[in-house]
Amino acid sequence: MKRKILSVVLIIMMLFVVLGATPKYERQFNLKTNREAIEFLSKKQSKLLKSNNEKFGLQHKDSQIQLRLDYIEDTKQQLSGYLTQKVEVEGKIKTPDNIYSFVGDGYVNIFNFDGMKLHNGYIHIDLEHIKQKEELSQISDGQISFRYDEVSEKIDLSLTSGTLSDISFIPFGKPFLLEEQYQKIEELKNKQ
Amino acid sequence: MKKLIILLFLIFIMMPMKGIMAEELYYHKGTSYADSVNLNGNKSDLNGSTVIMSVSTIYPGNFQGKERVRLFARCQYVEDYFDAYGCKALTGSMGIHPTYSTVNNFVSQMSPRETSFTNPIDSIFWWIKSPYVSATFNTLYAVSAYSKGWVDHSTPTNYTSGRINLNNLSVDLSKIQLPTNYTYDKVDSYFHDKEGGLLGTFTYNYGLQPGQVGYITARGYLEYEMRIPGETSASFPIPIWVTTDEAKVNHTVTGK
Repeated sequence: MKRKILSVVLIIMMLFVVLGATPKYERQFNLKTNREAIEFLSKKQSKLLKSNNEKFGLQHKDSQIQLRLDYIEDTKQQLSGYLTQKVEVEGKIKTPDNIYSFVGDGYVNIFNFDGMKLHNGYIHIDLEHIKQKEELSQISDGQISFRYDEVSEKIDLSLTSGTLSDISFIPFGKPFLLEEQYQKIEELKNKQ
Repeated sequence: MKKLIILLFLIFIMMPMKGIMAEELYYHKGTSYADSVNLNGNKSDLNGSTVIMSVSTIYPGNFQGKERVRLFARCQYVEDYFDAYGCKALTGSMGIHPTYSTVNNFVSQMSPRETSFTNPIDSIFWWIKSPYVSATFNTLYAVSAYSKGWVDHSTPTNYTSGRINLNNLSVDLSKIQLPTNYTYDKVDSYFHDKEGGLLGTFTYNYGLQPGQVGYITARGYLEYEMRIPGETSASFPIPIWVTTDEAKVNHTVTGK
């Protein structure tokens, strides 16, 4: 009898080790380029688009991004004003003439306000693109920031690549936060 | 038992001194900045620097060196460059690595400090001797200025270089930004007796005999988040996340 109990306990413990090693919570998104925003910035001759063609080809305005986010559950930290946790990502940007893969990791802050459950994420990615890096650097090839409201399921995502010297920028989805809501986020982030 | 009580009492008395003992005299090794170049290798139409870095070192002759790399923001020029507003610092990244010496592998056991999740880190402090501060006040008191964020670090397996990343920050910009009416080299005097800058502290062993020289390079950059106004006053702002180029300071370490 004792041996049986011991075996059951051992099995339960092993399950905890295997299943509980890195608990993850997954979300997937598939978004189209925000063409209007690119055209608006292009009309303004914005320097954000400086290297877009060189890195992602002439047809990048008609691309889409697929990404899978893995929220690492055991990194959750409740701060005053918001919850923060680590996240891992993998995905690809599909343009009409190419596919650029990426992997990365970063952080998501989760805020509750104005009836929203807003996930605000910042992720550094290793990103394939046409123009290879010229010198070795510690700076990551790309950054993804995103805003996702779990309640309305609205999402917008900004992808930048390079430093100010060779920056490129592709927005995906439609921005949905108002200026006062960005300020609300700041307030919550700075809450002591 | 009596001895134990005396010992505990002594430890209790010594505890407040821990902070005082942590103060050390660092020597200012250089201040630099990054601006940007355009695709043809010419200066871009940025009106000024995008990040400023101040580097200080201590190597007291016991073959252990310490290096402090402080980063300061220059949001205004970046906002102008992209017609954006609402800039804040999101990431600070700084690293050091040996660049040259007649002595091979003169740096070892590099060790970034403070790698855990952070709530306010406001108790790390040190003293700096800097030529940019008047003789009367030739030391600086500095405190890490970020209030919330994550810290991670990386060192290669041979421990000859190190990097510290401060991620997902919420920072009071006024505590890390040098206003544009000050030139970059005034950053230490501007932040004299103020809390200021994002910092990384590195320790390392150096294998240099008296008179032998090694070069160490410190590098750092910032990432800013800001917004571009939408096409009409009714439209939604477009959020962007941009990375500055790197500021670099190359300096010597001499065996004593």
